[in-house]
Amino acid sequence: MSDIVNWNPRWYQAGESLWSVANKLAWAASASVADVLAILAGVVKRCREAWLFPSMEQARVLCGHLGLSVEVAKGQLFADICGMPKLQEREHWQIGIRFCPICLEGFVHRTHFQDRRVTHCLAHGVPLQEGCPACGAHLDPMCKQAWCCSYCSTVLSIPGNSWPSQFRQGPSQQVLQGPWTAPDQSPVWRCPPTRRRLGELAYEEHSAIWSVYLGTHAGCARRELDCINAFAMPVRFKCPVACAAVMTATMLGIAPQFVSGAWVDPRPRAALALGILESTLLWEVPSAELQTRVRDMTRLWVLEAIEAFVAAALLGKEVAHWHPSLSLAASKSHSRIYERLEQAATAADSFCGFKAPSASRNVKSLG
Amino acid sequence: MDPHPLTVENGPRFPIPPLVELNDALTKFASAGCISVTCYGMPRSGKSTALAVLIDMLEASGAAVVYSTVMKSSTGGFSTLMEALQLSRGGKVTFPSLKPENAFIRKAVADRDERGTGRIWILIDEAQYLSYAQFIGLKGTLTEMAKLKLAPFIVLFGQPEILSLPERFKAVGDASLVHRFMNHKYRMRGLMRNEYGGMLGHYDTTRCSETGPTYTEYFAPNFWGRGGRMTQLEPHLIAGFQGVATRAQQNPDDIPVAYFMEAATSVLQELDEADPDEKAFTDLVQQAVLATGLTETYEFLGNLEARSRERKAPGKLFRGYA
Repeated sequence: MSDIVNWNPRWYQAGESLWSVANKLAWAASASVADVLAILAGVVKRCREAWLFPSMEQARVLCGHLGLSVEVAKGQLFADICGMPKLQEREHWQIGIRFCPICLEGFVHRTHFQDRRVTHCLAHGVPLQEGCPACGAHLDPMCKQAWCCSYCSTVLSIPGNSWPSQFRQGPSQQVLQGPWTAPDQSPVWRCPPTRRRLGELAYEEHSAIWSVYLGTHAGCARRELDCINAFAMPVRFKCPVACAAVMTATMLGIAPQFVSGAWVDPRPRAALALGILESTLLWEVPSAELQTRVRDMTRLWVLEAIEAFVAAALLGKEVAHWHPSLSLAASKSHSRIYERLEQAATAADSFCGFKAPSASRNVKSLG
Repeated sequence: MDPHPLTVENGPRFPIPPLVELNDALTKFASAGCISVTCYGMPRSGKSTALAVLIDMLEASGAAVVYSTVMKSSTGGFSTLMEALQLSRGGKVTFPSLKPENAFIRKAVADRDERGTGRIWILIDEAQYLSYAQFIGLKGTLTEMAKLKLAPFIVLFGQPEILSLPERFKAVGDASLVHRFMNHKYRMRGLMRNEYGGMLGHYDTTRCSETGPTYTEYFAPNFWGRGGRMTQLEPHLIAGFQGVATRAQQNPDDIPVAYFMEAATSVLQELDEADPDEKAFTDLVQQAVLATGLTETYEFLGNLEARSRERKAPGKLFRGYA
């Protein structure tokens, strides 16, 4: 019998993600998904992607509670990655929920759906969907109700009276009749991006950088929120990493609470949606390149911001000025951007005025 | 430490006649489609033991999904009751946003799917402490369960003062609510004199395995080795309990089971250590009967059942001896 109230290990389907399990649990226990994820995976306390990349200790505790073995869960319940992934790998994984509509009818969301390299459901062959079908908002994993959009409260899948047997049986596997042909030639991720989609993409990229390089400074970020309003002005800082993260987030139009892991409002802020990046990109970049360019620019801004604050810290200053580069050529010129990001983050660790940096940033090792 | 297979709740695990009758009665009530039965009886008449035995039996047979709880005070709300019932079937990790009312019904649905039976038994001990809000909540829960094609059956175990609940809730203006749960009442009787022999015989014959020692042999090997048998105690115990009951103007054929078992088990331990003559033997049994405290209980409680029926609605629920 499971340790968790109202959980039955027989409800677990192969390849099912922790978010999916959390939804089933939330339904059965009549609790909120955010609550379940916070307690089982510590999502709020650490960072939002903890349901994809939990620490080994958390994974063990969680599997014990759920009545599953860690070996089975690894690569199924969590992302199939050994150790903390590098940014090149991490940025393929999306925090906002992507789903197969047929799987979701069977109350299953699979972990590999979150990998943006996967465009179709491997079981049903249908293209994966992103965003709420009703309002189009990014689907926050920390929703209040099970299988629900946290912005407009649209329920994506409603369990009937025989929900326990539906949970046990999983989704139908015999839907695909013959080879599947895409109705739209362009893959999901290369659809002409909307303004909102670009904002979500910037958020995902910023989150990936944050979790790989900057994750140990989550506590510092909460104390550096003064720099949110310091647009184009010198700012006083104590932790260069946190300050860079908060400032870049502000410039990208990401609400500052996102930085510390809390996704309170999944909408890009109306007034600052993508901020100046959007105005630059939308006019000058062809739509086919927009998505790539948003990610490039996000990386570049984070890199430049960290370097600017580290340079100031090296000179013993507590005040620094950083303004984002608006040159599109600049984003292309940084071929070694991953290495430079890592070097800059490592250098910045030693200047953090709030705490001693940990020995390794890879605190979320999955073994 | 695991209990010995021959014991249950620190007492001998025997087929006790009042418990067997209760089991039969509840089965009949449930199969007749009753929703609720109130089972009351003297303190220590074996209600809680019966509840434990019922849970074991139903779990083993898979005839029903059982949820049980013991009401510890009259202060808890409906959520507390639902949470306790829910946790009785395992689980320790709960969530702050969990709504126990809905979660309990969903757990019942999930358990029906898992156990393959829609019969849901809800056993509540010390039910005299149930509050008005809890009764209202239970009523709603029953309705909702019926909608989901579950067959709930509630057994309220309690002291005789549970009979005064309708009077008490008249003051609130809704005695019918309690009557819904108390339409069917079952009085847990005590042991009759002619059942003593059978009960004592169980000590000498019940074994935990086919070749294993009997209860008497296991717990009093010296007494058993001397050829002693518990059935020898029958006339002495009858005399002892009859004397106590008669002096307190109570029915000698209604001795609460726990007092009898306590006296018998205590004599058994004494007899294992000493080998008394006939007179000392009689004194030993008499002392064991008095040591059970039945006399004080009679003085303390009086005829609790009759008093509960006569009592007008009290301001606060109490045990009847205040």
